[in-house]
Amino acid sequence: MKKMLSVLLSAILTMSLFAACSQAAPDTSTPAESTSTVANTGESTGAKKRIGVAMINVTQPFFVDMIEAGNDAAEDYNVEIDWKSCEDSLDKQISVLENFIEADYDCIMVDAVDTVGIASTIEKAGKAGIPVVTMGQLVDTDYNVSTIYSDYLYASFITEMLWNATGQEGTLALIYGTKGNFTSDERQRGWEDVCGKLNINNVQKPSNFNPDEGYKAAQNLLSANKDLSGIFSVSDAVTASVYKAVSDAQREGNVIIASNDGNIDASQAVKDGKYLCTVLMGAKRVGYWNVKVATQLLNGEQLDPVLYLPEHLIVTDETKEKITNEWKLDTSAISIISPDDGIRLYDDYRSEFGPGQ
Amino acid sequence: MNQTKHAVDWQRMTPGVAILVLVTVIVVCIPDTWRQGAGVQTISNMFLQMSSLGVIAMGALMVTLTGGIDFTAGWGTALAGVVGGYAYLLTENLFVMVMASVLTGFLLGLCNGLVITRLGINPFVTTLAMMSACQGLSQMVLEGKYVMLDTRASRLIGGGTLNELLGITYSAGNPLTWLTQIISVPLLILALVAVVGFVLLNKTRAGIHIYAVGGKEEAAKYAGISIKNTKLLVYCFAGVCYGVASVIIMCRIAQITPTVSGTLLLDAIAATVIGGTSVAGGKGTVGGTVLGTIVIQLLASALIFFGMPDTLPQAVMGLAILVVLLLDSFFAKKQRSSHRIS
Repeated sequence: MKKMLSVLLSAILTMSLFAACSQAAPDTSTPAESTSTVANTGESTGAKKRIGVAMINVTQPFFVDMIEAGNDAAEDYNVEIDWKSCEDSLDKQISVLENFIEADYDCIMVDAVDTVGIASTIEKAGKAGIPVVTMGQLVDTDYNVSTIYSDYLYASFITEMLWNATGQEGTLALIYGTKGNFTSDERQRGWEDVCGKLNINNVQKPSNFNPDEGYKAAQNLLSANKDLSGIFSVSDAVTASVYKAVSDAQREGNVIIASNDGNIDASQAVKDGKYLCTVLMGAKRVGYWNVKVATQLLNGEQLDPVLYLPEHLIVTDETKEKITNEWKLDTSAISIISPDDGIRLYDDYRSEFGPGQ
Repeated sequence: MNQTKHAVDWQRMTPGVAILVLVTVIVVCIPDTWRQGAGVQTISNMFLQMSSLGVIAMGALMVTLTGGIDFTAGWGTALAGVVGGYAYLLTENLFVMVMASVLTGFLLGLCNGLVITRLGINPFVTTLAMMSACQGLSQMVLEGKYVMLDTRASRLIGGGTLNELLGITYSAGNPLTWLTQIISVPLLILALVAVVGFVLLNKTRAGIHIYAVGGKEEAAKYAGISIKNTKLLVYCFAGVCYGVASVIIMCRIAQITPTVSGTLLLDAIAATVIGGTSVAGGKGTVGGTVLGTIVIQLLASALIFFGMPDTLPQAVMGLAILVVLLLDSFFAKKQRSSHRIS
């Protein structure tokens, strides 16, 4: 009896292991409003249209906020949406997409683990008549709309701004995410181009978007570079621990910190003078806006193959004044807002991107 | 004429030898930029960074001594952290947070231990499944978000120095200053856990049982040792270690977040193995594990000192671990052959 129980429990534990490994995000799809069947063309004939989303993972706080707002967009735009985690695996992401294709989803959204590796599967979806939105990444096929962020532009601007804020002295440090992550790579590219152009002495370390690793990276950079005058951390969640490392080293006064993502905590930190700036992408804005783009495709709208999310640089009025009058930086392509506006807009995505906007 | 040869226990010296080699390489080859910046702060940082890993490695040591394995080190630490963090959000009391984290870790260990010992499920499958469960649960508690944690007490726990803890201020030039800068609160916590582990393994009956179960389980069983209770104890101890480590990490990074598991599991296992713990069980020491943790940290620091491309650290770390294991195996064979001769 005990042996049977052990075998049974082993089997259950093994199955739960595989089930847990699939790490499906909370299924937020709502029941169809009618029992109409889905036509072979993939179009619903009365039931809500279905969007399948293949996320890199659902563990990053950024992605969690994206999903929350994406569900709001699904509600506002009257679509069903299924979020699936791909566990940072290209293989798994390909499987998820193929499942969406087989199940005749009306539209697919994908945050690609590998922009080259996923291309053929996106083409497969396109040939099956399913429009695809590739979020935050530039994927080059004839069948997708790429929604990307002005990471390169804003990272370049922040680098130049940081350099000026430090009095053009010392060494600057970049704490990026992960090599191969498109967003992180673009921000790093912007940083490197400006450092090269202005001959800025700089060092770089990865954080893998892990706050603990970001803390250690910052700590090591501070130890190795006594003349470190500024740090640009590309993700707000990591920047908080970078700031802690600077604070623990008692160098708050002489190391300036810049960030990106525009989380509420970061906007508040800008307001409090802890950070020089952050950039409002806003995970919730990203989630909501991407679902909006998907519904536009579902409604047959013709969209450009590459769309840019409106972003905003968050700085204090004092810094804005310096940007314009003292450092004389070119702000023609940059939208600048205050921390209070950043905090408001972070959650006010509906008024920015909702139906009718 | 009879000569008594005292064979040198090279095997036990492996982690010490590894540290000596690494320190020599670093000191000789370190680039000038680091040489100028290195000093008390660098050493303090290294000890600070290794503290949480060392605590987790203590838990891994206990489990490995019995011939077991525990994959919940990384995500279990994350889960203990977010549960403690959630308790902090409700009560705004750091003591409650610490207790909640430690209790969560203990319950996780208890769960692992009960499934393995009472239901007879293989530790590999059990802890692997629990790891996934911890991963999912740690996302659910705070719904994947992160929460800031920044109080005087948390700053002390996460990285306070000894003199900050004691409220002592030394005058400039006092030779004790550098010592108290190096000894941080997380390092003291590691020391405390190590002392508890040492006493458990070397001064209690339970410690004898742990070594016996790992050494030869059948023989231990016939000797009247309760295999089940011994294994249950080690998994509970490991769980408590994860809880303690989670508090150190959360306080250090000033955040309550589930995204901290990283390479904790691999590094903890590596620290115990490099420290001379046999994965088959029955062999290993607290001191060896502490040295193993120092080796891991030195390796990580060396990679930074020498400006290695950021894509290389894991590969280099893995190769270095293999080298240490090969050395360990070489010295073990040498020792066995010298015993046969004598």
